[in-house]
Amino acid sequence: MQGYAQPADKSAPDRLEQAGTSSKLSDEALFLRGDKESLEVLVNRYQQTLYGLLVHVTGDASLAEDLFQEAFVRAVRGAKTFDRNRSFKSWVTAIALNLVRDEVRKRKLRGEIPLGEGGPEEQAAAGDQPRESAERQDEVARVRGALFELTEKEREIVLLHFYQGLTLGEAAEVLNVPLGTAKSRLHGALVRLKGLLRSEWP
Amino acid sequence: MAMNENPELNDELLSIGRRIEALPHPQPPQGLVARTLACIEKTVDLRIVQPVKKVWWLRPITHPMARLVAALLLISTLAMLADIDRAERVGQFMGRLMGTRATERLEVLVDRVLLSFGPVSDVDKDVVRQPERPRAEPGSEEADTQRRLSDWV
Repeated sequence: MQGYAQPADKSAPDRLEQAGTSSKLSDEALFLRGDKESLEVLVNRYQQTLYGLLVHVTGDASLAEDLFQEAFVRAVRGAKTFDRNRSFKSWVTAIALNLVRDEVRKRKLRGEIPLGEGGPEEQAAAGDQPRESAERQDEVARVRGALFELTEKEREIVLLHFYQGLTLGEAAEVLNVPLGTAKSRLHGALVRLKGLLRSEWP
Repeated sequence: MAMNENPELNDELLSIGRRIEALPHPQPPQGLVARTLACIEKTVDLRIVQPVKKVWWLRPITHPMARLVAALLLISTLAMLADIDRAERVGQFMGRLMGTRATERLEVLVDRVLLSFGPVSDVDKDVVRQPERPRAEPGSEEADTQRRLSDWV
């Protein structure tokens, strides 16, 4: 694979040196280098967080995998449009969430089961931790169930801020809304979650 | 967890946030990175492929006015060739341009095409088919003409 930012041909020692330094670079620097080694480090960094976010947003592990791959493919394809002043994390997350929205729209049009309402297999895939206690698994199932009671927008802001660890500013950037909107949406979502979790577990 | 940037979030709401934060991070499937890189690689390979070079004068004419002009140009060019002297001059010009041999071959080809479509005039048709003329009524002007023609032949 050729990088989109620099010539690809490198000697083996250069590649080894680069692989060592790649892990120290910021996400943006890695992405702008655009060679295979840098992208490998980048995908590795995000496979836990972004894949996890997609699993929780979609409730479907295999769909999350597809969307994860597609998000990176689109990011690389649109590398020339990447704003260097923007954080890569919020950019790639925004791409991934747009893909989720497309998927939701497609399912609605095709009359398929909406996201998050799959069978127990899909639900289990998100929290597939056999060593966890039954109590912990119950708690996870409750919180996940409550999350899917929220609207798509509410679910996104809650997961971006608390699960993904984005600041409200970053979350607002991902969702392409003003900071004030992000704040009020988060507040509203948490209030609803409080009600949902309380009604399920008095 | 992200710091509480929103003072409206009281402890109760923040505790719900902490429950979200504590959701498990699912284990990514084996080989996710490799598969993702393979997908990217395919895409980047596609980008390397040069697009087909478009030849300007072979592009389709899409503008309605341009279509009209092109049609008029074609009609006027073909109409010019209806004049046999002008067509002859065009033929000679082409002969000088392409060489005698190529022009002859082209002429043979055109002749074959024209003959395969059949003669174009009634006279030519008669020459090819040699139809038997109906005999005119005896004593009529037509019968007289036929007799004179047969005497002449």
